[in-house]
Amino acid sequence: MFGYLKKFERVVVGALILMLALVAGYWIAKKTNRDAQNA
Amino acid sequence: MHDKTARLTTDEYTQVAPVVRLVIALLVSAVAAGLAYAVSSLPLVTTGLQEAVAEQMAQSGVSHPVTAVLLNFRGYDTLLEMGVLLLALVGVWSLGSAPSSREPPPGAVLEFLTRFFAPLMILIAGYLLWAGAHAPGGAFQAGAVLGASGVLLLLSGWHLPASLAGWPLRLTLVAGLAVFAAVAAGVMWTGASLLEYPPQWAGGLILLIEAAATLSIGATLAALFLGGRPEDSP
Repeated sequence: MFGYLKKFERVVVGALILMLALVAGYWIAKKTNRDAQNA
Repeated sequence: MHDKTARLTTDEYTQVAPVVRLVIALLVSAVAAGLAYAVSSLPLVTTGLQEAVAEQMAQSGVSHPVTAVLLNFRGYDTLLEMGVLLLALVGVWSLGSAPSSREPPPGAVLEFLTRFFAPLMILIAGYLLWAGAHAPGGAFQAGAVLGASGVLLLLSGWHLPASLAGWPLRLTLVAGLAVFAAVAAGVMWTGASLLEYPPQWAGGLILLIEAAATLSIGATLAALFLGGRPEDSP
């Protein structure tokens, strides 16, 4: 599926997906923690 | 397997399996539904966040509210915007190599003007970057001017030297996002949250992020204008 991407572009796409997942995970964890404290 | 250096034809684009197309359609629909829900959830009347921003300006590290919002209070958004810009370039590069330039060699007048304006535009970009801390300006404006100078150079027949078209170009392209992400995560060592700059370092950190972002935005915009991946690239 990503055969048309060269090495640099694959690394960039992979890093962006990883960063997005980490940021989303961090945000969800922080919100869950805040909601638990407020409850 | 198609030739990776050639431009893809329309037939090659349509060779995506139906299941993959269905998954893409479902994902895009989910994002659209989420956006529609978010927009419909917005209050009809809002007082805005001007007062909240004004109250926290002393903690932001800069004195201009727009820069404070973009680089500090709403850092998530700007961080991901840098990712979107880089992803747009990867999308363009995935289409194939940059078409060979058909621009004729510049005449004497255009060459003189280009040699005159390009350094001036770089100077203006530097000023806009520095001014962003206390006046309208900042990384995106400075990057746009830098990108425009790149477009001007490309239009007048200038070519990126082969020695710079490989990893030096790629490092410049990712520097903005990499520095931003490193600072965003690095401040967590001090016990702060992601993107929560310590007030005493905020000004310096914002300038560092904006300086790297300016170079990346300028290089990305000029590279987008090229319309494809530079030749002989890794």
